Amino acid sequence: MVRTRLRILMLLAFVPVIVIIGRLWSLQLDPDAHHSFHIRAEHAKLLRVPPTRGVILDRKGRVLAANRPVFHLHFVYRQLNPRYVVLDVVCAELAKIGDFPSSREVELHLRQTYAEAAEEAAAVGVAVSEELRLIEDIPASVARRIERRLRPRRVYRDGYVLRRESSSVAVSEERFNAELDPSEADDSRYTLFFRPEEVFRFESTLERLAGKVEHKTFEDLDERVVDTLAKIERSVERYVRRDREAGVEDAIWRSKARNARHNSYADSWALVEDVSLDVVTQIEYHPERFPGIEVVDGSERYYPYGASCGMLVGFLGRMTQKQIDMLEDEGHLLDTWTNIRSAEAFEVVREDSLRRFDLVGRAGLERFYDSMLRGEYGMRVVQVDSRMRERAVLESLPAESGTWLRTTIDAELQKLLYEKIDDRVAQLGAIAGSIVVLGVPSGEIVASVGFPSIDPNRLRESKYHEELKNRWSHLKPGPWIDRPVYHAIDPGSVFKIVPAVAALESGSDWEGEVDPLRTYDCVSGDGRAFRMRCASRYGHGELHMYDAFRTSCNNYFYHLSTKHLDVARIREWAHHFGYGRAPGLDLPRRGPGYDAGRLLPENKIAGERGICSLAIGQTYVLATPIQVARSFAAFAAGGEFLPTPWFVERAAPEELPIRGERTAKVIAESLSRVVSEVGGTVYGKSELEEFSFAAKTGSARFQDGSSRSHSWIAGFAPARDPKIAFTIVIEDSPVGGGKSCAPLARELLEWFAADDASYRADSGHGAHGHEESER
Amino acid sequence: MTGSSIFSTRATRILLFLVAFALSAIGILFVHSTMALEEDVFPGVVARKQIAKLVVAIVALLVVLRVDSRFLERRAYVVYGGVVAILSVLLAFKYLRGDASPIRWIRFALFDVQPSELMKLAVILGLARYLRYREDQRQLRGLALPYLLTVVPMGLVLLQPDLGTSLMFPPVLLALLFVAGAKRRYLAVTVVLGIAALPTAYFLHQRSTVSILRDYQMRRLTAYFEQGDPAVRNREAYHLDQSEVALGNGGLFGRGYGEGSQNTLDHLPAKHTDFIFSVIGEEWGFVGAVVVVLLFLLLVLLCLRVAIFTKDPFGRLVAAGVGVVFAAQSFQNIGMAMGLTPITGLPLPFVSYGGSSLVSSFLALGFVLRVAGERVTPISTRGLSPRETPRVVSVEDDRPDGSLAAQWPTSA
Repeated sequence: MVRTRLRILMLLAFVPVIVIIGRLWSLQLDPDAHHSFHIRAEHAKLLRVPPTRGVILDRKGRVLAANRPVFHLHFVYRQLNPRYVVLDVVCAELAKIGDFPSSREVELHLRQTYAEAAEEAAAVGVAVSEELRLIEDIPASVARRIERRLRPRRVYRDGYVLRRESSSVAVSEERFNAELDPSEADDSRYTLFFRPEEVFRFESTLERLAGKVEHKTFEDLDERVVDTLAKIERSVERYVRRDREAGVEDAIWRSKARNARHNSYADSWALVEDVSLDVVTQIEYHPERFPGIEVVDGSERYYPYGASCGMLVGFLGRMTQKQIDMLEDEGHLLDTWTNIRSAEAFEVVREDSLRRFDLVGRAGLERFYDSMLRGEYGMRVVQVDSRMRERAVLESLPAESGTWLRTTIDAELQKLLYEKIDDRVAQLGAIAGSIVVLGVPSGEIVASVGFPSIDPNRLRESKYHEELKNRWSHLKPGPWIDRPVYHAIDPGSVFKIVPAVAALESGSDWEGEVDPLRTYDCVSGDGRAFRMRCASRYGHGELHMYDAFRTSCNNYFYHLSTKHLDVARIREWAHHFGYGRAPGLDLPRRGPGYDAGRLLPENKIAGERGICSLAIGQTYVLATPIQVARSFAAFAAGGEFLPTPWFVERAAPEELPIRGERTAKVIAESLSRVVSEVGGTVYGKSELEEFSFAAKTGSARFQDGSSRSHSWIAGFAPARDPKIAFTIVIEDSPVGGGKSCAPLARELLEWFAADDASYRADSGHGAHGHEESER
Repeated sequence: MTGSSIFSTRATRILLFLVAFALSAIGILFVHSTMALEEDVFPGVVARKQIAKLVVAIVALLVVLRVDSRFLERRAYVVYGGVVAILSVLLAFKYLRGDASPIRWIRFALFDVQPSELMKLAVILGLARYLRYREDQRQLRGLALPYLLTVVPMGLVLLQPDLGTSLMFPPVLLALLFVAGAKRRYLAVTVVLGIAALPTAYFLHQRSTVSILRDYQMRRLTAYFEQGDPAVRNREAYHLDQSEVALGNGGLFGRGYGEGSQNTLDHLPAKHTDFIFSVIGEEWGFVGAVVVVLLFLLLVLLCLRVAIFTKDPFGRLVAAGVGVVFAAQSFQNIGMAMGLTPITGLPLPFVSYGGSSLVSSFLALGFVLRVAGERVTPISTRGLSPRETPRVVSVEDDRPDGSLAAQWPTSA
């Protein structure tokens, strides 16, 4: 029977074997299971390598926006301040024999002890004594345990010493064999001393650092460390809260908390952002003087020309939640593709893709050319071990840097003009201004200055934001708009070229056809039901078109538009010259009221009063400086086409339906008389007559009952064979167009004349010898 | 020896030793694979340690082979009592000290000993001694003492706490009672009651303030029933999860020795001890794993075969007990690596890194080899005093020269 039973046992032994083999079969031999396990066993981790953003250059290759390396200082608390280890152990051991304060309280006590000792010593004029008492009356058994646990640690050996009371012998010098020699008197008591100069390594390191880093005091740094420790403590608290609530044994969650805390102490935490290279060098040269301090490098977008190109070049920022959602819907959010392991797949996915917290262009060129500038993400698939350390690279695909942009902007001119507008605005008591300079006939934008603007380098400072808010609170819209492109205001008299061209080209006959030399009588009132203001209080008398431009006579243009034209035709020609529609340049569109300006529809412009207002660019039309500059560029270029402004990619000009050369010649002649003839609105202002140019001024009333106006000068230079068209605007100026803007026009023309004599009035026809402005 | 045996006794003994040695060799190979640094050539530091331990274990085996099984039989209770005493002292020390940390080791100058490993062997010896000639285990009350003999050391080991080892005791008890001739009915009832007691024990444990099992042990046990839950897999069943990934990664032929990523990237916890089978499965694949499983099967079958053919009742029970311990322990260890059994810390006999396990496994093997090597001979009454009743069978040394066999013709 026994043998039978043993044989049964033998048979039973096969059962677990069959079960095990069956299970192995399903785990190892099932192809699907094997495959999925194999993928998991690779422990591959996808790292996305961010691309370098493209640099933006001006026409001469000067940098408008680039990336610069930045250095941050981090600290590792375990190395920076290792004394917490000692205090932890000491407190833990003492807590075993009774209630003892926590290590944090002891730490506080340690600091106080030192502070008092330092004060006393300073009062007497001696150095702080080498050893200070920290904890007294420690029982021998505890002293031995502390000694045994901490002796291997250097931070303890160097900084602390245990002495038997009423004896100067340090414990470490005794033979410690408590267990083997119980006969040793157990009632002896010990005192723990600390050596300040060793123990306060943390403080001395921060002191040293504070001496190096600008704008940071010891208190700042200490506060940062203390804040970080509080943050760690909160996260540790969160980590063990569940255990505590679940009633897990005290010893267990305490040790968990201790481990979590110590792990965090071994991590590196931010201490100071963006320190100078000088500080970095000193720290890396003498790492022993800065224990626990690490230099971490990063990259930051940098704009050398600051505010002068501020809103034009733009700046970077996080995407809005809406943008992120949109990317996610389109499958262009890289964060969602976590399971990609092959470079080929990543290459497909990375197109136009971003990560959730990527910085993207939020304004200006940075925004418009964002997809070109930002480049494409690269990737690495690495194999990680259980501590998430990289062990091998399985796949990689390099990031593709963004395209470099070369713009038509002249950064130095831009900077000069920005400063000059700032000065001029301050002189006048105005608040804002813009200057646009277009190259003719290409339409390239040589300068596009708006004041005020923001300095994109300082956007991280909250102080700067407050400063902006306080300084520009009365300005609507504020500095966060690129004024030359997006701020549409009443153009005033600079709009008069539109009714002039309309009349010359498609004016209907009224007691004879339209002729530039035909005169009309400028009398205020002139029998109309309403009174129209003119620049001259008593009227200019009989005058023809050239004089009308020269003196900026409103009544002439009332005649022209009421007798020879109607609203539809003025609107049509305004439209031809780019009013009421976006200028087509390479900046983000914002629509009517912004970059498209505004040209009210026909049914909104009622009656004679309406048509008169429209003819002098008031009330019914709003235009941006760039729109105005564009319409002047058309005449600078001969009147056959309307150049389209551009920064980076040359845009095709538009055809203008102007027949023959007469109209363009009349307008060009009219505009040059504004400058060169006595009585012209620019003549004699800021000695501008020494330059060869043609222009029209404007003073657009924008508020009823206020004498302040938006002051304009728009024109082109040189007068013969023009190379640039420009617009200068001072918003909300107390004086008229010519007076407000003339000094700026002078600065502008000086700049170009410095390299090109054709901008000088006495150069005559010498302009033909030069090609384009060199600057 | 009966004619029905396939192998001669000698072949059986050699084969038994070879199987154990093969398992140990595989163990050393994979201990090296799991613990070697990159530049280490075989054998690395840890593998050399394991080789030294193997040498010690084989010396222990040779010593056991010199010990007369009569002597063992007589001293069985002494051994049993001694180990129980050591365990009790350790526990008492632990509770007096008020320290919650587990005590599984006795530290000696050169090596550490895990008393619970020895307890397994002591229980086999004790039970075998008690049950060898008894008939009363066929009655219910005759079962009481064997149960007691098992439950006391089991409790002591459990309190250490060493859940894995303590779970090895019930199968040994059941198997030995079964072999010794206990009624199947009683055994069946015991098994059913034992299983039924588990939930009760669980609830009592939840309620009681004295915790026998530590928290993590309890969670790992309950995790066994929630294997499918991904959250559980990330926490309590993390070991199991990583172990299954290792096995699954192996496929048919494995990733190659030293090439398993679960192993080299350190994702598999306790890979050189409790989870060494997963490493074998990853690096040698299905083929290697099955070979190891079959080696264990062979080991168990050979032990049982020794039990079948020995004439010595004590030796039979010892051999059967050792076979069952090997079977139970290897099944528990391999089973937990693939989610068949709950996760309890338990080394794979012969294979896992660790001296105590290796030595106790070879000691156990030594008992079986000793039992297998003893020859049954009729006994003469010559030299016996009249007061003593001659035994029916007796055991003499199997002399290498066979001189004894020549003098005393066997009955077979």
